[in-house]
Amino acid sequence: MRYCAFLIVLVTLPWSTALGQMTYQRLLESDREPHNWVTYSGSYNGQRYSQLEQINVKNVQKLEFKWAFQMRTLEDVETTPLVVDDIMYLTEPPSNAHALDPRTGRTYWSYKRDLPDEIHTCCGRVNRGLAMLGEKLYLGTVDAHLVALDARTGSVIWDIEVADRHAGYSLTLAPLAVKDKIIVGVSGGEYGIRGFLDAYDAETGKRVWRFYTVPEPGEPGNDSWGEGDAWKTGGAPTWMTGSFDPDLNLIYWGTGNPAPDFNGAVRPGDNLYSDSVIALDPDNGQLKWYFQFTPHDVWDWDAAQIPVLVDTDFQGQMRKLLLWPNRNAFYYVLDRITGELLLVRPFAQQTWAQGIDSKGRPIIKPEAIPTDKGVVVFPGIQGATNWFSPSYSPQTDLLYVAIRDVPTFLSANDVEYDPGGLYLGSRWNGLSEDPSWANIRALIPQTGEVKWEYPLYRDVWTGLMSTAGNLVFGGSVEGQFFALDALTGKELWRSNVGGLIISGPITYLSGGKQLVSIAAGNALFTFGLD
Amino acid sequence: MCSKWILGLLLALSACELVAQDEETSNPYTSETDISAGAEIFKVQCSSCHGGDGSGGKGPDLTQGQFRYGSSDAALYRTIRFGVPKSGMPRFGPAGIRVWRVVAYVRSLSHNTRELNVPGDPEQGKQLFAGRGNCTQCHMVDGVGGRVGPDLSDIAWMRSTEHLRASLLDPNREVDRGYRSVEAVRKGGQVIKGVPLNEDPYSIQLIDLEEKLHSLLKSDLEDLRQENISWMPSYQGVFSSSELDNLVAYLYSLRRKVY
Repeated sequence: MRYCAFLIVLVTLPWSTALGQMTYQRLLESDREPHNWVTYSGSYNGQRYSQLEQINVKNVQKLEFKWAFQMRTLEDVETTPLVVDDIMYLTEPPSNAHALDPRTGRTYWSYKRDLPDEIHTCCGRVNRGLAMLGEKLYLGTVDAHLVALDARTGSVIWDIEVADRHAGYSLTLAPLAVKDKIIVGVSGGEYGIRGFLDAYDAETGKRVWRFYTVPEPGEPGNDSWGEGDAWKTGGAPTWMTGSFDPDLNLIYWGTGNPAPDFNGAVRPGDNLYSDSVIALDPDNGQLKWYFQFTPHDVWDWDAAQIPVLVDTDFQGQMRKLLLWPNRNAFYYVLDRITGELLLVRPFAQQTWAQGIDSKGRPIIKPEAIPTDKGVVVFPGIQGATNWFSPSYSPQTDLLYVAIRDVPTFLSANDVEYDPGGLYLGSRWNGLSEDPSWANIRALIPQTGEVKWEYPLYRDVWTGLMSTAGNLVFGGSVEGQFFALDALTGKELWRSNVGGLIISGPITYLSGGKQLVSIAAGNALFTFGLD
Repeated sequence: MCSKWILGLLLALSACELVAQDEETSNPYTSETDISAGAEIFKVQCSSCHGGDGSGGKGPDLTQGQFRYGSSDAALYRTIRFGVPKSGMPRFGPAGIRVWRVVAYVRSLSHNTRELNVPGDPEQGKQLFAGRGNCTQCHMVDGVGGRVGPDLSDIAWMRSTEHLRASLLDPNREVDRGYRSVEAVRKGGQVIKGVPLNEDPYSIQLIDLEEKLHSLLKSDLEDLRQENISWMPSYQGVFSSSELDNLVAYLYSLRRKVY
């Protein structure tokens, strides 16, 4: 009898494959579904802002713990989950993935990747998240592969090598799904890789285009690497997720440091396109414009920040802006149609530049350039900010940034390139009399002025999220997850989740109720009202 | 002091012997005594996955005379000694005679060798699989098909032809725990049918027959029935004997090479 029923089911049910499909159209219109969190930054514009307001300044004090998802890892958990149609998808370092029920934290499936012993990651075998398109999830792995997983089962649909892990390549970022392609960048700036950004056919995994962030001889920009072979090991990785403007049909992607990081003598010139934002046509990977924040970087100031795309009034005119608080301690406002510099000013303590000229070129203080004896410089090698996400609230028209006022002592030393070996050219350390401070600052986007500041202790690695509830969520390295008043910076709620917060918060609805999740320590924690 | 030296020497010699065992390319232990001893080891350490008679279970069928990770003595030794990452096959342990004896026993199981003719036409079987059998509704092969039943892309490594045929005729004879039938009845009467993914005292996660994921609180359910039977229909009387041969021949052709 049961079989008869089953056969009837087989015949009558639609067996639709459209269930849970994350179409490109849905990604374009992510503002229509604030109950989901559909990309690494929540939407293509990189704002990490949610329209949800069930949790707001009036009731956030009642926020309470709902569930935790413990991970079997000793690596830092830097992930931002996705939530699509009441299923949470998240990565676990080094390169695993899970699907969870966001209401209970219970697992639907898990994907565990077996990794070879030889992995080259400078800063932990980490992963920051997934992309979703159709019924597939896309995972970059620390052995430098891109994997497509079946969103319903976690089964591998395809698995391709993006680059040679032996040469120091790895993938730690969340990929970005644009149209029918998966855009993915590489890590490895500390290993003398030659950086690039790739686009893959989402269906087949076949590579559609590659843009090298270090031009080869004959290409524009190669002359910024001197006459030798420095370009071959020039770094400029693309290790954080970019943003996308569908109206302009441009993706914006930050690039990392030139290699070797601290000894610039072997790579004379500006070292294009390291420490830059590149604006590419997502259909073919062609460069439309670039802006280099730190030419000939010798301090390791990757432009690995999330590009924040904002349409707002700027000096009396509505402009399409690109907001960029950079690792080098300067805040930049660019016209994202042309790359024109509209504004630049420091947003954190810095001792390396007298200023930035009207073209965007820094006027460098000679005493800040590393020597073999070493120098102390603000910001330190982890920058005034780093890869963790800023957030822009269209409701307050403020840009929220986690800031590190942390100096470093560093030197420039000889170094030889050895494939797969660290290629740094320095020794460095913090200071025994360390005057470091960290804080969350709200910047006025049009001027870079500080509207308010929320002080933290000596370090910070949190991403931020703003919401229509007039809240800004973030966390501390000591494990305090907090909510601030988006207008004043006043702390309204906090909870000790007991582990390093080095990830970005998200919010979504499950069962009609707003929840907030953040990774901390080796787990993901979720809070809600009631 | 002297005894320490002797002990050290013995350990060194023992280590040398273990290394030597790893370097053998053909099995030096193939006597009846070795096979019997291997059978005893197999019973304790291997049968829970490969079945008491080696015809497969959670692990592959070992009676076919060819092996997924290599069929030479050296390859079998390597597979048993070091395990297979990601596959669930654990490493057996230290090098030596015990590994070789298991190799000898596993070899002795090769009575369903591929040289034996499998009756049936795999091409016609493929058409039945995708067509009248409606098998792709629930089973995936090389990325095409459903998700409610097991992925069959490598089923030929896992099961003998006899086993495949028997399962087609009686799907309930052996049901993997992950594919048993679940019927959850929500308060109000809505019934969700599927296979289980995860469960705790308070909730159950399942994939339904439409391939939709559900996470259900048990407190929201009127009834939760889980039975060790399969959603798969029996093909007894549905296919003729020769059609079954064709289908089995097709399934027995599904083996991706990994070495």
